[in-house]
Amino acid sequence: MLVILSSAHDSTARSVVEAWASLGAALCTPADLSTPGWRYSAGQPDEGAAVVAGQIVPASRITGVLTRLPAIHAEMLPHIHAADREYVAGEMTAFLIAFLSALPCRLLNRPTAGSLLGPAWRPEQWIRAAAKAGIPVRPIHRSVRLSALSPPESEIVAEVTLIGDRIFGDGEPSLAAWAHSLAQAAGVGMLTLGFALYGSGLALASVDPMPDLNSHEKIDAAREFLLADSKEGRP
Amino acid sequence: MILLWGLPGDGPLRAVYSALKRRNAPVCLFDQCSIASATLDLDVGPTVHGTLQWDGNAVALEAVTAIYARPYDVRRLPMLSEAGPLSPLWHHGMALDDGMQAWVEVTPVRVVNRPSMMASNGSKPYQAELIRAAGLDVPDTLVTTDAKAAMVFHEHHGSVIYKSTSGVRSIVSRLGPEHKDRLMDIGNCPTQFQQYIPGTDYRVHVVGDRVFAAQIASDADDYRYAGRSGGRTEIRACTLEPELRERCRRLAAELGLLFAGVDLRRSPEGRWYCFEVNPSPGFTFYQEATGQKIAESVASLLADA
Repeated sequence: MLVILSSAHDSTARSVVEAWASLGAALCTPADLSTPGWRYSAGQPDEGAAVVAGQIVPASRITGVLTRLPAIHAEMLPHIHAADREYVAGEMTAFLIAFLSALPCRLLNRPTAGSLLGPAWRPEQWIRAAAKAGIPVRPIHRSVRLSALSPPESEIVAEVTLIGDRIFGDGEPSLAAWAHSLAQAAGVGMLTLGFALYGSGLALASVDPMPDLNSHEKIDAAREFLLADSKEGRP
Repeated sequence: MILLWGLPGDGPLRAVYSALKRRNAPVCLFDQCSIASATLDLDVGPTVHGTLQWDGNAVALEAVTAIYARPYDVRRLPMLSEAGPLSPLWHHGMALDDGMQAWVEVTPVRVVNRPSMMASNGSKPYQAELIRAAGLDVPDTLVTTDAKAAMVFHEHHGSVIYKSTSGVRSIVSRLGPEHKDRLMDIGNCPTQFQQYIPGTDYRVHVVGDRVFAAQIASDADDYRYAGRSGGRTEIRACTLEPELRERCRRLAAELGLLFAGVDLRRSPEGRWYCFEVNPSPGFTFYQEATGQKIAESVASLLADA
């Protein structure tokens, strides 16, 4: 079973569930975390269970997870008493980090201690990781002043998205190679890189670990990656 | 220049600051309460540089040789909560905190500790798996929304405690018959239950390669709050077996922590369990009771960077 973890209002997540209907894909939303049935036993991942679309699913049946949110936020929990929402959201996020990390199947992306989407990196951390990987970067300048206005958005002139081994977007081979290098450095299977003009060429200016799955091809690539190790993924 | 970041009234920060002053080390304290006057310019590319200014002080970021970071939750600073989340001061405080966090993540100098390395403490069951992987035993743990599963777990172990799953500080409490009616509430939110381990508590502070162990005698389930329940707590310095000391050192290193507070319990059968690794330990509580020179050791770590 493929699980798409997202907010209840994520239309892209619903499109993915429809596209993967034949694989028994289902949406898991924050409301499911307020449903009896979840079970996580430390050191015994096979005894775990999730609640997906209101149904209890043994963890061993989950063959892949596509995550579409970095954390559970208080505003996603209208069914929880307002005074408790922030605390409950933090508890749910902490639980999901442990639960998802223990799954032996493929995840896009595998969570880290700081985020359900992978590395909880600020733009500066992505730029440093890219620079260390030999990718040209456009330096980030951050100026924090009480009276300061927000800096203008950087002008992205080329974008590539990596999902598994597949690359979407600008056909420039060096951009694809950089996407692979950065994904490897960050330990993720999916990300979008934005490039701006800097100096004499293109340089990395932004990174998003949750690409827009705005085409059938991208959705197919995510499915292929998630099912690469399972029977469902084999022809 | 060694930079300390936090509140001057914070015990550990004050203790490390004093220890650095005693060594005549170049040190400055960036007081979080100086938000209104503070500015930060941070440039990150192939190199990291910039300037931090507050209350007439100016520090070139590239001149900083080590950082001890113990920032308080900026949203809870009185000046910010009084100004409110729609105020320019609130936005400035949040932006400054985010910028500082970005800098301490990317600076190549020694940071005690980087936020990303501290993050495992934000999910206790996640951290428990890392502790287990490092070779220390952890108590049986169940996190569930299923009251029946919690009851089966309770019956299996005879005695269990419950505590928060996230990094939010909570009082560890024993599950008793009085909680049975409330157990159905766990359907709303995954709740962490843990096998109760009787025995003696130990707090082990790992500072780089140095290890300071303290034994805690208490009659409370959570010795930190023994006073509230009329209980007593006594803390004294002790020595751990070399192998256990090495495991604690290795555990901190594997979590990427230069300074850590490891919570252990020794069962009556002599088995050691690790409950948690605190990545920003409030060590002065133990230092005052034991006389261990933990602040001096942290100061050495920073000064020798």
